[in-house]
Amino acid sequence: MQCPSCQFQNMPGVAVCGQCGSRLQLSGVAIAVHPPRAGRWEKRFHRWLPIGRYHALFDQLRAAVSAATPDLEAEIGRGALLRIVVPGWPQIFAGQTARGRLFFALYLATLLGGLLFAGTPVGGILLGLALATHASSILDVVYRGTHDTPSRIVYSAAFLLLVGIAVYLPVTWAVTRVALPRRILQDVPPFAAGDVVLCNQIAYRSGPADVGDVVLYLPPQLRFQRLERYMAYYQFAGERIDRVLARGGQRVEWRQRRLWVDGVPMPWTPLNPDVLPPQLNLTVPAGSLLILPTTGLPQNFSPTAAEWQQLGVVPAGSVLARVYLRYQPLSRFWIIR
Amino acid sequence: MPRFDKLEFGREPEKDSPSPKPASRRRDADYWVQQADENRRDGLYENALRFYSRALEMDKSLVPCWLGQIRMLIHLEEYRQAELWSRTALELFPGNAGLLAGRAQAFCRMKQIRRAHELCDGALQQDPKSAYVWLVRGELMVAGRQEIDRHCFDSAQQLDSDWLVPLEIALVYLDYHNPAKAMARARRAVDSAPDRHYPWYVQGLCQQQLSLDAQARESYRNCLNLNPRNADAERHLAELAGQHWSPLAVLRRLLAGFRSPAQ
Repeated sequence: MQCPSCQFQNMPGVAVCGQCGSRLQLSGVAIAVHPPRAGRWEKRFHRWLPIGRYHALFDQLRAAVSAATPDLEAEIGRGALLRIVVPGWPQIFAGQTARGRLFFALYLATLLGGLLFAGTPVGGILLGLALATHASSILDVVYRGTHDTPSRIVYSAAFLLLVGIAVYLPVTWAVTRVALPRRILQDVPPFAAGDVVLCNQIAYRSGPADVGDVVLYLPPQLRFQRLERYMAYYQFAGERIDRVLARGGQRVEWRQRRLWVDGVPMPWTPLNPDVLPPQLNLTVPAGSLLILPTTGLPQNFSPTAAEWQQLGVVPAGSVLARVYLRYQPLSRFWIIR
Repeated sequence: MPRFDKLEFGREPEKDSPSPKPASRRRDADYWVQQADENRRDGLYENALRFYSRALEMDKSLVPCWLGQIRMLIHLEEYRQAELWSRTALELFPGNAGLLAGRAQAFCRMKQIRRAHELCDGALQQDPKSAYVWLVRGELMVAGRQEIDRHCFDSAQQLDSDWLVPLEIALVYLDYHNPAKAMARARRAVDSAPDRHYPWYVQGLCQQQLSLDAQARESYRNCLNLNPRNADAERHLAELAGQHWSPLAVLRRLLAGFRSPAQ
């Protein structure tokens, strides 16, 4: 009887090839001959997102975890250890489904709540709870896999640090590039105290701010003094939010509650035009932007025309981010234009 | 539902292929193997896979059919399934060089190069005179950006003078975004089988990727002359004529450029 795999001539009646071990009598055996197939979406997904490329990296990571935590790995398994990046996942992987789901549900609820109220004290508390849930999930894994206090302390600290550095640090960094929350501290139209706005820090990576954009910027640090009944000093520093009104080299006129740039009427105004004098003529030097700080004036301070010129001319590089969304309170949620 | 994914009646046969007609001759395993090989030579991998399965339904001991299924799955970019299926086949025929090489190729496409090397070494030990094993070896060299890929592919061609070997080498190069090297192999396949449409089509693909639009157009036309039902060739010809522009295609091409592992 010839082996179909290696062509070795076997004795009649034998079930397995004496040379290669292949089965010789397959006709009576129930074997599926139709291969499993990939779904359309699976193929598309793999074509667009070549995850396979990172297998080598995962292999190295696995080897590193094995080398660093031989006791833990022996106790709870490498698979569970690698899944500590998601709260509840190691527990589910290890068979404690209810416990794992509880961790995950708690984490998801607090994280979503935290994101919903981001920038507010409640949001801070909820995000803190989410982190605590994740930490608890990690500690649960470590406590299950170790039996002495020093190991527990060392492994807990190491894994918390690892997850902090590998997961939370990059995620926080990436999210705050495009959604940096800023809290408004005082009532200044159009904002109210307690409002949270979101800023995009990468909006002006490729070029300066556009005229009409509402931006977060650093005005020049200035100090003004007034002699009234007493000598008053007005300090002008710190981040402000207002609209870019003109670019360098343009002449700006404010009259009849309307902005004119190089004699042309513009559709936008500063965010709080009520604080501006009825008539104002300004010139923007080259390389600067005109942003009148109408939402960030010290209380009881009314600048003169010359002071508006000083306050409003901002170097183009002082623009920090574009303000695009009023995120809190949810009742006033709106796109800022 | 996932369990129904394995069933085949939901899948439509490839458009440019004639639906399998009832043959007057006896439909034994050999007949289905022949059908599968014929479809494979026409680049109709879905049909070929189906015919290999039919052949196996009649005779499960046909190792070339198991290997054919694995290779078709790889051509159809179903690498995970190919790896799984090669594992199943290796349980029946442990140590078979072709099946080991098939598994190595699947791993290689999934970028698990170390495992692929181990399996390929095993396959070479088992059968150093298999063209397919050398083809997989060459692909591993390409994936690892090693310069000796040419020698492996040349060995494969020396061991098997069939035009399908250089053609599949060309497809390997194309898969790794190396149209210049693919072009040389595709041309060899065309020289060996100028009366077959699929080599013309693959040559057209290489020429199109090299921005040799006029030559690509010519290759696609030759392909369509030999097989007027080749929808892919028609589509590429339309693309070259500028009738078929889509932002998705542009984006895909850009991403393909970024993903390019070896040039």
